Amino acid sequence: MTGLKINREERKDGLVYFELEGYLDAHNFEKLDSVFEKYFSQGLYRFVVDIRGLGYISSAGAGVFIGAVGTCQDNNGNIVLVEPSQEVTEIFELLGVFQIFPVVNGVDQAKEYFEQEEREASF
Amino acid sequence: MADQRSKIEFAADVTRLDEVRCEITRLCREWGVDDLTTLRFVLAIDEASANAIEHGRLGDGATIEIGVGLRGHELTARIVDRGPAFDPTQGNDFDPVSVTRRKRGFGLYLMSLIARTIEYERTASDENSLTVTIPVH
Repeated sequence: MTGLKINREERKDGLVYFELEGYLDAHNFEKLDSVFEKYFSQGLYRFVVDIRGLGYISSAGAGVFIGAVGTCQDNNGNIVLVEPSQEVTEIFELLGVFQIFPVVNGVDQAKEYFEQEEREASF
Repeated sequence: MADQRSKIEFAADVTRLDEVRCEITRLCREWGVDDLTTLRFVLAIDEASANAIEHGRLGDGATIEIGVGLRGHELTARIVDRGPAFDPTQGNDFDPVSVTRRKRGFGLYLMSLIARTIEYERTASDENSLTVTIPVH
């Protein structure tokens, strides 16, 4: 038992969607890291990560997101976070990482975010 | 709030961190500490413990001791390990925007945002002792 469940589903149009459930800490952060690395190796850099089921994140867990978003943004992608819990919001606010990540209230809004980005890029 | 004290000892292994967090949360609730302060206290102890495990090169059977207390409007945690001398309060730099190539090393920065004080001491018994205080609102 690692305390972290990753339920993922690859969607069309180059968007990767997955859900996190449990906690993300110094014990299990590599599990999430390997998920991002796997998709990076497939050339996929646009992620919608539903974290409403994530009840706790330590700096090791936040570091995975922070490291991954740099790679995504270098490749015209991003990580959109869906509905962080109150606990995770508090920790992300402390670290100031909401300056880096778009946060939305649902998966549909996340898709709209990427569609909007595409429209802006095409101008 | 009445003064409180407790002590936890656990195997120096990251697989045990969740148990430690649960126990600290339980104590804080018992002591009547609010949820936000509890989260911050748990986070500070989690970061300090993970740091000690990662940098301590602690052998099999090694343990980490955490003494926690509530006095007035302040929570205190003293995290002690018997690893080689390591002062985590050195090298505390972090910028969330420019740091996107770095995956680790945010722990102390996070602690510094939460804590009122963070003090490292190498004790006479060759222990690393990190004491963190957190205000209770």
